[in-house]
Amino acid sequence: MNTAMNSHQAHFIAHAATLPGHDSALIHASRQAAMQRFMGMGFPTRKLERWKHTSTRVIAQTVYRHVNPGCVGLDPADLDPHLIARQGIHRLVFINGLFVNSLSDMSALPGGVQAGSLARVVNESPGVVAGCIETFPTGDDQGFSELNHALWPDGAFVHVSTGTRLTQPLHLLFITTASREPMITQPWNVLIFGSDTHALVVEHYVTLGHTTHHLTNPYTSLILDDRAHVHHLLLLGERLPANHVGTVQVTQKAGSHLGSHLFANGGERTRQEVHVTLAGAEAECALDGLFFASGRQHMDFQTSMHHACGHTRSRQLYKGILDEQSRGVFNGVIRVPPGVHHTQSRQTTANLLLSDTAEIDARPQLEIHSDAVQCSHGATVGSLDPDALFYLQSRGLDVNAARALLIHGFAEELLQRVAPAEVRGWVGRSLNPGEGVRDEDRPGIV
Amino acid sequence: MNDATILSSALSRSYKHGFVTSIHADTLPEGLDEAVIQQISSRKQEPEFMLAWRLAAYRHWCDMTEPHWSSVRYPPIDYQGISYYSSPFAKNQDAVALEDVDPALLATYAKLGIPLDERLSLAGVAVDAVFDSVSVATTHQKKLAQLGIIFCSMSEAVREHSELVRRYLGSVVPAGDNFFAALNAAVFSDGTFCYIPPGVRCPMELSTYFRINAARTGQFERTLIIADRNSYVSYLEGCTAPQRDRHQLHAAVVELIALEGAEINYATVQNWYPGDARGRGGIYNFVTKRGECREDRARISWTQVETGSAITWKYPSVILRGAGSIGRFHSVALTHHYQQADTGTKMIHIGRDTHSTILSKGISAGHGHNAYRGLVKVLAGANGARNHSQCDSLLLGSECSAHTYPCIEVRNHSAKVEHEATTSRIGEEQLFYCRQRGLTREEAVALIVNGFCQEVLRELPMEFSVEARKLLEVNLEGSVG
Repeated sequence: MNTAMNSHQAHFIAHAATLPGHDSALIHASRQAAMQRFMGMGFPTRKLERWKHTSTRVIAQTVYRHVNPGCVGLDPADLDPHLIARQGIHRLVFINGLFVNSLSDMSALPGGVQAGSLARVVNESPGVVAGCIETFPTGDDQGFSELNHALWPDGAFVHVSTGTRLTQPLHLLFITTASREPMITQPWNVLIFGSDTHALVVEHYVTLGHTTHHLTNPYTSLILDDRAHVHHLLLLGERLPANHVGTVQVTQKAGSHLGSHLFANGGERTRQEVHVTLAGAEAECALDGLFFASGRQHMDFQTSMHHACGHTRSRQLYKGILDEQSRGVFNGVIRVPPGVHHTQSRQTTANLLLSDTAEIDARPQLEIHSDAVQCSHGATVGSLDPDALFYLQSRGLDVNAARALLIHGFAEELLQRVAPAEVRGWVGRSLNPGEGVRDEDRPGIV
Repeated sequence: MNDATILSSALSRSYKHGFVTSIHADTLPEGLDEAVIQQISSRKQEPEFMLAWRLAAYRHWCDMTEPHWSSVRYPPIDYQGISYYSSPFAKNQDAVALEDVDPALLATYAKLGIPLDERLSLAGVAVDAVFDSVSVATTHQKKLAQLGIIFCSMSEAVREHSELVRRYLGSVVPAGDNFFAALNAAVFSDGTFCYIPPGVRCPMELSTYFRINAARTGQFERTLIIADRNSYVSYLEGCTAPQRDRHQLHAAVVELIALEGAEINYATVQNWYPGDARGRGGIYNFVTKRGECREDRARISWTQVETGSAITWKYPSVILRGAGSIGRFHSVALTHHYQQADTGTKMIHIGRDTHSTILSKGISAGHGHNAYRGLVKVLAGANGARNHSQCDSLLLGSECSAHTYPCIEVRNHSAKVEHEATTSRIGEEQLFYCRQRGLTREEAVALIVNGFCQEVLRELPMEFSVEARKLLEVNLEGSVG
C-alpha cells in the first residue's frame, strides 16, 4: 500500500459523513464496500491481463487533491468553443466533476425528463440508483471504478420517463479547470431511459486553461428499459497532461437499441472501458469508436459485450489512427454464455499507423459457450495505401493533401453514423482544431 | 440398430491405440531431485556439459511457479508422483541393433501401423520410434548418412555429435523459457536429432513416433532439427498412449532452426489417449514448440492435427529473424467429450519483408473446450512485414465452447496485419441438403467437418493426411444427433 492509496482512504474517512447520500444506508454501504475492495486490490497493474498494455504507475504514485465544492469562478464565454450550439441544446455543465447550475441550460427540457445533479437527487431519494449499484462490474481489474464508487462527489443524473422523446441533444459537459497541483475528478453519471423513449446524450470531457497532470475517473451507468432507443456520444478531448480512466456500464432490456459513439483525441493517457449487458430479447447494440493519437499519447479501449439473453445482436467497429510515438490498444471481448441461443455479434477493429514509431496492440476476443450463434471478428493494421497516395498525387494533390484525404476517408465512416447533421458537424470540428475549436495543444485528425 | 446403440458402439471403438504392451522396463522410482537428473544423465553416458545444463535448468525450474493463465482447467499435478525415466531396455544398453530389440516392442509398433523393419516400412519415410523415455530404433539411417544427413536419437546425438548439440540445443527454447520447458530441459530422456547439411534436399519424410506405455511415467522428449543453408526437410510426428484412468504428463520441447534459404515443414498428428467419455484419464500434452528462421529467406511451416490428449496446451511458434523469411501455421484442433485445447501460435516478425500465415480451425463437440490463442508481433525493424490470420470455430452441440484470443502488436507502420475469425455451428440447411442426397446425419457431419478442415489437411504429407482424416471421422462419431 502506498501513500497515494492512503491519501484516497484518508479522504474517504474524512469526508464519508458529507459525501452525497451519506445518510442513506444503501449508498453508505456501497461506498464503504467499494473502498474496502479498492484498498484490497489497489490500482490495476500490468500483471492483469486487461491492463497488460497500460501502465498505471504514474497514477498510482500521485497524491491527488480531491475537488473542493464551491471553488469555481468561470466566465460563461469560456465555454463557447465547446458548445454544440449556444441555444436550443439542453446542457448540464460540470466543473471539476461538480454540477454548476448557473452555466447549465435546462429551460427547454420537455416534461417527463429530469436532468441535474446526481448528488442532489441521491440526497433526496437514494433509491433511484439502487438498480445501477447492482450492475457495478466486479473483478480484480476494476480498481478505478471501485475508487469512483467509493468517492464520487457528484455527476449527472438523467431520467427520461416512459414514452418521452427528447428531440434535442442533451449535452453533458465536463470541464477540468486550471490547477496548480494534481487533481482528481470522479463524476458518477446515471442515465436512465424508460420504455419507448428516444434520446441523444453527449458526454463530453474538456480542459480549460493550462493544467498540470490531472486524473479524470468518471463512471457512467446507462440503463435502457424496454424498447428505449438511445444514442450515447462520448467525446474525450482533454488536454495533454490529462489522464482519463473512464468506465461506461450499459444494461439493455428487451427490444432496446443503443448506439454508442466514442471519439477520442485528447489526454496523455486515456483508458476507456465500455461494458454492455444485453439482458432482454431483441436488444441491439452498436459500439463505435474512433481515436486519434499522436506525440506520446497512449490510448487504451476495452469493450466487453455480454449476450446474457438469446435473440440479441451486437456490432462493434473501432478505428484507430496513430502518429508519431503514440500507442493504441484495443481489447474487445464478446461473451455468449451457455444456453443463450440465436445471438449475432460482429466485432471489427481497423488501425492506421502513420509513423515508424507508433504502436498498436489489438486483441479482438471471442468467448462462446453456445452453438446457436453467429459470431465473427476481424482486425487489420496497416499504413496508408501507397497506390492510393500515388493516384491522388497523379490527380494533382500534394502529398500532404493526399494523406489528409485518405485519413479523412478512413475516419469518415464513423462520423457518418452520428446523427443529426448538426451534431455530426460539431463532432468533426471538435476533432479537427483547424476548422473549429482553436486549441493549439490538441492534435487534429486532418 | 437404433441411434443410441450406433452411438455407443462408435464411441467404444473410438480409441484403438489404447492397449498396453507388457514388457520388462527399467524404470526409475517416482520423484524428482538432483540425484534423479544425475542418474538419467549417467545412464545415457552424457558428456559433462549436458549434466551441468540439466542441473541449471532444474534449479531454475525449482524457482518457477506453474502458469495458470490459460483457459484449460486441471487438478494440480504432483511432480513428485511421476517417474521421469522408463526404458524398455536393460540398464546401460540403449543403443542396440534392431535384431536385438524385444519382439514385443516390434509387435507394438507393427500394431500401431509403424513397422520398424525397413523392408516392410513405407518407402520414403524414415522413422525414429520413441518408446516411453528412449528411442527404440531409427530406420534408414545408412541411406540418409550417405547424403550427410544426421538422423538419430537425441541420446546418440549428445554422444556422437556433441559439438552440434552444444551449439544449437536451447538456442531457440532456452532452458528457462517457461515452466514446462525448464522441466523438460532438466529431465528430458530422449527425442530426435536431425541435421541436414547445406544444399541437401532430404529425399524422404523423416518421422518420429512417440509412444507412452508405462504407467505413472511422464514423457519428456526433446527434438532438435537443424536445416543448414539451402536445405529442405519434411518432418512428421505421431503419438499414441494406452488407455489409463490416471492422467499422464507429456511435456516435450521441439526446436527448429532454419539457416539461410532452408525450409522445414513440421507436421504433427497428435493422437494421445484423450480420456474416456466422462473425462477420466488422458494425456496432458503441455508442449513447447518453436522454430527460428535464423537467416535470410528461411521458411518454417507447422501443420498440426490435434485430436487426442485430455488437454492440449501448446503454441508452435516461429521467430522470423532473417529478412524475407516465412512462417506458416496450419492447425486443426478437435475436442470431444471433456477434452480441452488451448492452442495457437506466435509469429514474431523481426527481419524485414517477413511473411506469416495462420490458419486455425477449431472444432468442439460434447463438453469440449477449444481456444485459439495467438500472438502476431511486428517489431520496429520489420519493414514490409505481412501477416494474415484466419481462425474459424465450429461448435457441435450446446455444451461445448469455443474461444478466440488473438493478440496483434504492431510497431512498424509499413506492416500489414489482418485477422479474421468466425464462430458458428453446422448450418441446418447444409445438413438438410446432405441428408436429402441420401447421407446419414453422421456422414453429413463428417463430410462438412472434412470440408471445414480441408485447407489444413492438404498441407499434410499424403500418408498423414489420410490418417488425419480417419482420426477426425472416428473422433466425431456420436457427437451429433
